[in-house]
Amino acid sequence: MPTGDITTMDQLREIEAWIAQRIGAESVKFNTLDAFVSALMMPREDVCLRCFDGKDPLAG
Amino acid sequence: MESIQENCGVFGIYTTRKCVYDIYQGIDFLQHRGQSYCGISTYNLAIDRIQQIDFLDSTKDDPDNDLSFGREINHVTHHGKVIDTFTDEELKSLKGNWGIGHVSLWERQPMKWQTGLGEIAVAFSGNVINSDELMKEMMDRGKSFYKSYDIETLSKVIIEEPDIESGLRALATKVKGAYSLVVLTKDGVYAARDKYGFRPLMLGKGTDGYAVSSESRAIQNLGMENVRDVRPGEIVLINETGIHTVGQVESPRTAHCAFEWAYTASIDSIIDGVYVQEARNHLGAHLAQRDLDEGGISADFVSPVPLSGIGHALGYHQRAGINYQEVFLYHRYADRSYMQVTQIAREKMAKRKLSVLPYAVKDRKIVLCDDSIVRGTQIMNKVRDLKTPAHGKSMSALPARLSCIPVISGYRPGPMMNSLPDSSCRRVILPRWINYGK
Repeated sequence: MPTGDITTMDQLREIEAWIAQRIGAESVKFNTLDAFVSALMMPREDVCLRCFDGKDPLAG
Repeated sequence: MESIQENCGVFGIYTTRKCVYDIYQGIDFLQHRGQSYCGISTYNLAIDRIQQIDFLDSTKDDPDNDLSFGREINHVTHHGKVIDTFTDEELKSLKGNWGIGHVSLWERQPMKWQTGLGEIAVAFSGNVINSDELMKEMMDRGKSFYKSYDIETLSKVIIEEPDIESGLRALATKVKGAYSLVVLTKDGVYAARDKYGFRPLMLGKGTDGYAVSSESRAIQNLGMENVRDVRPGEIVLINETGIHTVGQVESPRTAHCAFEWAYTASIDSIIDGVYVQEARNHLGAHLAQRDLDEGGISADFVSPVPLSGIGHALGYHQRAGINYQEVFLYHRYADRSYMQVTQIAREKMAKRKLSVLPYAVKDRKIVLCDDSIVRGTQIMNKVRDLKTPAHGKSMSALPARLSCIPVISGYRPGPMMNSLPDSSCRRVILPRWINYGK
């Protein structure tokens, strides 16, 4: 079971491969955090990403 | 343990005629935000006691219905979905020109109170992080609680103040967390959004009234026009003369929940200036771009897991130049799978709501798009359904593309994500994603 922080694309690919294997897909790809934020067309600092990066916006 | 509540929907309206049918439709348009409970409260200036007694008799089977004698607010809540639960009789009895409504996953709302500020009803969408702390502080002062709902805590914070506006200001200083909230009072409908603007809240205007809604789709579909979003920290009163800003709490920063655009909200809504559909198209396009950047992908077409994956798959199709084709028939009368309480119930529901279109998939290679993996239940079942031998060998290779980054923790996009350690997604939730993808 993959755990821990993911800070590189290789680590992202590792969990994608793990999920692909689990769900039976040839491959799995997620958006990167940067791609995700840019799709929302608003400044990163105006969006709550706590579910994704664990940073609490209430912490300032 | 902080309480878990999210994805609820609030609606409020002030009109020049009986408002209950607009509220009924309004919360029905928000039904995707929560299917466990629903409720409507209306402010009835000319209350008819005799009719109320008759009505109470007719609804006595539901002990939670609360039409107190001789009071101003008519109030009915139900367990279940809006169109399944409200009867014609109830709708007739919910009188008055202004009112509020709610759809929910966990808490039965609105909640009605007899207070020093008059009779009020309160409903909200969001979650209160420090509700235990707030409750303890109030209990130490001799207050008591009925169900320990977040809405109870929020209501009591408001009620302790000398007027509603001060109460809503007090919320901003005492409550940690997300709330888009409506309060029904004799003066009209108050609406407030927490100072970070976590949850959406849109104002609307029609020919005979004004409205506020968790999502713009309820306003649009009632034939009204969107005026603007309630600002983070803003307190608004809607009455016969229009929409009035009656308070503005300082906002330290904006923190709109990213899940609304990617997942929670309906694709026909616009939130804080960004169309949900446009955001989803972009999310899908970015996924396609990643595939293009990483050597491209060969497939006959790109397909969504409906309905959640449609916007993403269209965006993927537009960027990748791969044809778009539906491969599932959506069973529109089935619930979203993540609302079901047990794993078995979820799997059954996931199975029931989408059936494969065999003609479309026969001997084809598809790229399957969805918004995210929450538990993995749906995507795993769909991949399995598509890959049955009857659909040909091409289907044995099936790339899946997911617009959202994996989820770790936090404000709980679904109610049970962190509360069910047996779910497959729990393992997906564990990693923390920091600074990757530069």
